[in-house]
Amino acid sequence: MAKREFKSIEDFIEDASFVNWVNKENLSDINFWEKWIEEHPDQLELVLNAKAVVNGIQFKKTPHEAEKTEARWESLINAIENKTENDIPSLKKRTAPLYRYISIAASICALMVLGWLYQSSLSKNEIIHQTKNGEFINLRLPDGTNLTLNANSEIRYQKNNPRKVWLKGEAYFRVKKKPSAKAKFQVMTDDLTVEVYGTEFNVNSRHQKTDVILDEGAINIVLSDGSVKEMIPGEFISFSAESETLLTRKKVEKPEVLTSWKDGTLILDQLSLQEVMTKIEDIYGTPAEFADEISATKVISGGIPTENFEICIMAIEKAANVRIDRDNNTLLIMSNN
Amino acid sequence: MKNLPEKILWLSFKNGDKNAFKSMFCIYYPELFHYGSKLCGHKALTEDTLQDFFIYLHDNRQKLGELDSIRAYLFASFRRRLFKEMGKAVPSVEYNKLNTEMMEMQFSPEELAIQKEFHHIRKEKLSEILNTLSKREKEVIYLRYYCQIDIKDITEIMDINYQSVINTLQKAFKKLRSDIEMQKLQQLLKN
Repeated sequence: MAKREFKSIEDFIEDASFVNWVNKENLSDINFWEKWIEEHPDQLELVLNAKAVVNGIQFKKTPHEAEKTEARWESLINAIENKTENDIPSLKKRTAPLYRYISIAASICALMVLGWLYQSSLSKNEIIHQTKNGEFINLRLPDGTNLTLNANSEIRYQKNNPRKVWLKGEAYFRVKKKPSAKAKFQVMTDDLTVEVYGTEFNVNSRHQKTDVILDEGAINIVLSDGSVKEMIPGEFISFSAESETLLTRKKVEKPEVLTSWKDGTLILDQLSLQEVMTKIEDIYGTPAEFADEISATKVISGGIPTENFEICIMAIEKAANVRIDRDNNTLLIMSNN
Repeated sequence: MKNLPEKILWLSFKNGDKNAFKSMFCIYYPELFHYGSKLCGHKALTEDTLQDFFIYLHDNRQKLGELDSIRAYLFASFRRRLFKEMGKAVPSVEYNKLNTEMMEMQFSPEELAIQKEFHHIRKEKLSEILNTLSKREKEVIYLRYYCQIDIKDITEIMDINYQSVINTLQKAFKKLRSDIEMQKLQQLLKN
C-alpha cells in the first residue's frame, strides 16, 4: 500500500482503502487504518467526520410510479402538440413525425389503467384525469375553470368541449365565467347534471348518490329524472338515480366543512367514527372494520390531513381514543378502554 | 467511456429522435420531480415548471451543447428555472400554498432508512436534527445521498466549486455528529 498523505477530508473520502475500512470490506485495509488511527490520535476528529461523510445518510427512495411518469409524458406531448398547432402554417410540415409519435405514445398509454394519469385516449379527443388513494390534484381546464379533484376520483371531458365534464368521485369547481350566452359549464354524474355559468361548488358522486354543495353563485341541477332544481349558495342537495329520489335538500350552516378536503385538511364536525372511516376509505382506499360497537359510534371533531395517511390515522387514534391496526389494506379499530 | 451511452442518448435527442426524448424523460422526470418538490415544497409548481422545462428542451434541442452528464445538466438547468419561478410565484394566487417557509428542504422520518452511521438514534430525532442544517447543507446531502450524485456533478448543479461541496459536507456531518452526541448525553442524564 502506497504511503499517502492524509491531511484534509478529501484525502480520506477519495481514498479507496479508507472507504473499504469504513465499509469493513478489505482486511488489509482494515488493519492498515486501525493502525493509522492509533498512530495519529490528533487526526481522530477528521477521521470520524470523513467516516460519517462516506457513510452518509441512508434514504428510503419513494418509488415513482411508471404510470405517473407516462401520464406526465402524455401531458408534455399534448402541450407540444398544441403549441405546434398554434404555429404559423408554414411550420406545419414539421409536425408530421411528431403526430406519428403521438399515436405510438397513445397506444402505449392505452395499456395503463391505474395511476394518476393525464392522457389523450385512443380517440385523442378525450382527456382523463384520475387520482388514486390519498392523492388529490388541482387542475386548470382549457377554459380557465379551476378544479380540485379529490382522492379516488376521475374527471373526463372532450378536448373540444372542456365545459362539459363527467365526474366519478368528488371534485370542487371554481368555474370561470364566459361572457357568451351559450357558455354554461356542465358537470355530469350518474345521478344528475350540474349546470352553471360561473361559480364555486362541490360535487361528490360516491356511494351511489351525488351530493352537491354550492358555495357561491347560482346553479341549476338537472336530475336524472328530468326535473330541474335551482340552488342557492350554502345549499346542499343529495340525489340518487338508483332510487330516483331527492335524498336531501337543505341549507347547510357550514358548507366550508363539507368542502374542507380541497385545502388539504378534512374537517370533521361531530361525526361518528363510522362516518369518519367511510371518508378515510374514500380518500385512502382503506376499508375499516370495528372490533366493537362502542368505537363505531364514538363522535369526534377535528381536522385530518388528506395527503398523509400515517398522521391521519394517528390523529383519529388520539381523537377517538381507539387503536387502529393494519391488516393488509384493512384497518382494524378497537376501543382503548 | 463510462458516459458513452449517455452521450449517445443526448446526441440522438438533439437530432430529433423522439424515442431518445422519451427515454430521457422517463429516466429523469421522476428524480427531477422529487428534487423540485423538495426544493420548493410545492408539487403543482414543480410539475408546471418541469413541463415548461421539457418543452424548452424539446424546442431548443438543436441549440443545446454537448454534455458530459445529462443528469447534471438537467438538474442544474431545472434548478435555475425553478428558483426563477419560485420568485415569480410567491405573490400570485395560483400557487397560494407556496410560502417562504416551505422553500426550505425538509426531511421526514419516513424518508429515512436504517442508518450506517447514526443507527443508534431514532429516525424522528435524526430528521429533526437534519432539518436544522443550513439550506445548502441539506441540498448537498439530498443530492449526494438521496440522488447519489457524485461530488463533481453536484458542483455543476449547485454552481459551487469542488472544495465548497466537500466543506459543506464536512460541516454538515460535524454538526450532525455533535448534535447527536449531545442527544445521547441528554438521554443518559434522563435515565
